[in-house]
Amino acid sequence: MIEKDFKFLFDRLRRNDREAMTDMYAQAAPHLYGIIMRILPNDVRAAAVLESLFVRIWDERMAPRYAGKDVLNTLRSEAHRAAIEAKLADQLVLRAAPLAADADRNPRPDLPQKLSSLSQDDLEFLSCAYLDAFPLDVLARRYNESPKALSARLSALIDRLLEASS
Amino acid sequence: MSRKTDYQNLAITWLTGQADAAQAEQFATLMETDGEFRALVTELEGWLSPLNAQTADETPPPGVLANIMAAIETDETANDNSARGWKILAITSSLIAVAALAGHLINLGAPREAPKTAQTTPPAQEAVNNTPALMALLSDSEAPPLVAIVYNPKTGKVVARLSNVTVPSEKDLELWLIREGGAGPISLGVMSGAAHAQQLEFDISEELRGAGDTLAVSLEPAGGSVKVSGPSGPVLYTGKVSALQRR
Repeated sequence: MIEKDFKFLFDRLRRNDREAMTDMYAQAAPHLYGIIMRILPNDVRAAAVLESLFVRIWDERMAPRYAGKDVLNTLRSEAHRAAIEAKLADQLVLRAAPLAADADRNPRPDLPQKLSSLSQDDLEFLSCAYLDAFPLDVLARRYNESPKALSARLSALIDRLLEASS
Repeated sequence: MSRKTDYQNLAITWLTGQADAAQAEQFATLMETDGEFRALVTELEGWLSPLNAQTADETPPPGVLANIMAAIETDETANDNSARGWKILAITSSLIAVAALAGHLINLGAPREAPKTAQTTPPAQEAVNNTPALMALLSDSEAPPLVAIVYNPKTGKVVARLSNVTVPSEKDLELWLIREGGAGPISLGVMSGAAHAQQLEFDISEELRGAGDTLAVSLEPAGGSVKVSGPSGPVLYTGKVSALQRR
């Protein structure tokens, strides 16, 4: 996916071109669905979230956030938020999702420089916490640390990121 | 602890899916009302979102695009009270449906075939005795919309209780069963009267199971979905079927 493609697609959406939604879906849906599925490993639920997300994109196509320089990451964040919202809503009656067997992932080299400056361990931990939204007790078993210690580690990592950007 | 630290902790707790109900509500409120908090969340997402480049693409199930296109097609002539606007409001309110199975039956209403002994306890009191968690959810006047669905396998009936749920005029809610490994959503019936009643009782044709079943409620034109294969309107509520334990 290329940023300029999204700029073009949103330009069309802003002209009320509904067919642009088909093109937007072809471009972005598999990636956004992948993001949602990592958090909600239930295809029916994830599909409902994806559907709502795209309808909202249409509804809010004039919003300034879709006219910025980083629309791809905006869409990723919105997919992530939508999945987290659904997860937290379900969590009232659902148990935590099991740890995925394929949690070992190698970060790609195209990360922002400041993220790349994190150690491999920290990056992998941050990925598990953010991308998979695993419960802390699941992460605690994985990392053989207490949930409290992991929570502190997460806060410290976030501190570092925010300090680096200030 | 400073407000900045509190905000930071709340933001990362929510973004990593660790928030409890109170934190989720606080997050939603601050996102609506506090520009500083919103900016912090956006900044954090700016850092974390590129991690998603690692995420493998997944092919969405068939039908999603058609539903999206149908939704935006319908919207063109809709006014401010359109189903879609209502749907988005509802979804952002963190909704949930709950189904209970049944040797743990909870009598939330007055079943037509209820045994005499069941009538000796007022239904509401019995519900309190049997479902403290559910009743706690329903007790908060600030709570988001909630649909609580209780199933009795002996009678094949469900009792749906609606709290803070608004159904637009000329619309109906429809209940769906999504079975793990199943071919697609199965309609369990149109919840006629949901616009005016807080409790509905009706028969369903499928027997619910304790695991692998998910219920969903969609907003449909009056009379139910116009599609054969599933909801034609937005899905507003979903929840896994789970057994409720007696104390």
